[in-house]
Amino acid sequence: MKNVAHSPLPHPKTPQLPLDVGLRDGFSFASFVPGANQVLLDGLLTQARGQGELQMYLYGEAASGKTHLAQAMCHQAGLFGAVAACLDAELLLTVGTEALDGLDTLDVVCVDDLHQLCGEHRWEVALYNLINATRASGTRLVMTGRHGPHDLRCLLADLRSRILWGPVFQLHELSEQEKRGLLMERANRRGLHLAEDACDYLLRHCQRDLASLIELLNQLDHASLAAKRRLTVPFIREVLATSSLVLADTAKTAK
Amino acid sequence: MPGNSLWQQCIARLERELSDQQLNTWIRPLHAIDEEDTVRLLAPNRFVLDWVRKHFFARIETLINECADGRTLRVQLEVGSQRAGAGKNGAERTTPLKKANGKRHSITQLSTPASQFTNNLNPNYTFDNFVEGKSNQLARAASQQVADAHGKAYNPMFIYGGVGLGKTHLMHAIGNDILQRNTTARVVYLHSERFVADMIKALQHNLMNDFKRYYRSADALLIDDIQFFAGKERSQEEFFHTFNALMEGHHQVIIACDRFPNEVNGLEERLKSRFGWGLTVAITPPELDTRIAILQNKAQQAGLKLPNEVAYFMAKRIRANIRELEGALRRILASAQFSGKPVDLAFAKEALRDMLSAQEHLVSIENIQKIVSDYYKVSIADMVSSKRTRAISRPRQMCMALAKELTTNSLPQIGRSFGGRDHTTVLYACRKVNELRKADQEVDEAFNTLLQRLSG
Repeated sequence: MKNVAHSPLPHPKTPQLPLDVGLRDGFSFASFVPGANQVLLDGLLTQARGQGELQMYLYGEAASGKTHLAQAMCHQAGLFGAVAACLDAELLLTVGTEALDGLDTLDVVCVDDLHQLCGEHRWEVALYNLINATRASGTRLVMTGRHGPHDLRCLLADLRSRILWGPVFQLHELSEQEKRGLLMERANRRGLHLAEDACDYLLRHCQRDLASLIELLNQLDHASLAAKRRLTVPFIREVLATSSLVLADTAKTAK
Repeated sequence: MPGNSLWQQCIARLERELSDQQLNTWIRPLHAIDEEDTVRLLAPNRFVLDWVRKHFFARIETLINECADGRTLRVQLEVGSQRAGAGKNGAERTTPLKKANGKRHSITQLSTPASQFTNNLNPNYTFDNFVEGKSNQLARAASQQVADAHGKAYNPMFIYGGVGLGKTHLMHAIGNDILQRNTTARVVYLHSERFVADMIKALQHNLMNDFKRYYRSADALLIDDIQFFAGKERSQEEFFHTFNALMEGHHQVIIACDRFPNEVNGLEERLKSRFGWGLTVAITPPELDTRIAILQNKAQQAGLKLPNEVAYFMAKRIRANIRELEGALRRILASAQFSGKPVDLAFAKEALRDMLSAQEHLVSIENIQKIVSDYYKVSIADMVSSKRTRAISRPRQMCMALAKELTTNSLPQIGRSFGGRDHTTVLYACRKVNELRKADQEVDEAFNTLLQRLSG
């Protein structure tokens, strides 16, 4: 039976609106937990300095960290004083292949979610040109995609062959222990105390990909501020009851 | 550089106002140049320029002036680049629309004299490091002859073969060889797409005379992947005239294509016919021993000692594409540099797992149920039923443990996929399988086999 007097949340009509002071984790290498992806991270850091591999291709499922790394790469290159760009396939599709022109004049270029561009001839030709041009100019190129190069729906063998020209990395999921450590650390950075049992609860009852877990932590942070309550299992359970990230019937779909 | 420092300050301020995506898409690609009372911001293309002008320019102008220590600065946005490192790979881009130092000019400033040739050649591709085998020895011999007597021996020379077999390497080798003998020779290597793009730009900006002069005065024009000319009639016509001019002047033309000229659909007959005037040579996929030799050669260039068994393993797995062999080698090199471990077969297999995995790494609970039911010869219907006999419950537990290992589904989701079971049942199943794997080698082997099948 619900005891209204001890309701953990403020009355719906008079909610306390917390200030939007949530910490932005940001896309940086520092905020990326490498887990089994250390070699990849090392390679990207070298590339961001304008050294190492001319091109790399990384692939992994949705929410595996591709966008984080592509954006972080650009951020890091900027810190090293390089001129860099990160272009997302979704955005590219809304404009046109001209958006890839002249990118070989930059120091570092990232093309995120390349799989979305495959299967369309003009985009494949544009990517083929980009790889040729960046290799010629020495621009470091990072491409990300959902599938391994052999599983991309490439119409042009010339493009697939060029994607395979540099090292290919699959992004490996973090272990449960690593996810636990990450959640605790992120909570800590927000000034939240996430007890072990509460962390266990999240890992048992929620979508376990990192993007969902971190988004959930954001929601919990917000809810905790609003309700002025600690992150206990009962409180989390109450918040989860209204969260779309919990017990989701379908796996998180791709962008 | 003061321009950079000012611009870095401006970026630091913008970091607080814009999302990471906005910064990385629109702001970081801008190159700033401080010129007394003006800051020039160079965008890589028109698209970035227009977007920045529309959405961020006013704010950038304000911030730059706020960071300018009392100076009043005019901010000018234009398409261009002044990248010091352009061409540092050793290869310069050929285009009459670009100066030799990689500095891109606005189109209105264009008037590149034909003497300013950039060759686009990669000095790393030479005859010395071209590994010869049965599949390419004719092409190599012919290429050497062309380099020895360009314009006189086979002209034009047409090299064809599948992707990643070494056509480009040979073209660069010819170009480098010609230049080595005569440093003032005007050698131009380019992809056919670049020819098309330059021609379009020249047409748009009324610079066709410059374009023609540039390409028609080359001593050797090496044009790669000519199949991309297919269906581009205007480009073919222009190339036809360029070709004729070069041939009349006894200048060398070398063309590479992924197939025999007559098999390129959408290519004009007159071009096909001209391509056959000289020598047409094929490159076929290299045999195993050539692939091994290529790997050893590239490993040596990279300073990596590659054991024969590793080279053999790689060459057996990657059969038809030298680029892929090179990519695989770079992947091993990356792992070796990071770990500092010596490269042996186990190391190579681990490093190449991501690359050689031909199957999509998408594992669903349904897929796990199917693979496990096949393995244990039980039906999926039984596995999701309420039956609790060991013959059914063991595969079910295995399925649940694999689903936890390989998917990101929550435990309640996994439980629901097995006939609406509770998440505690899933937890129990995972613990049980862990215990059994430690105690019973057969269970451990079964788990690993299933894991391998599902992971591709």
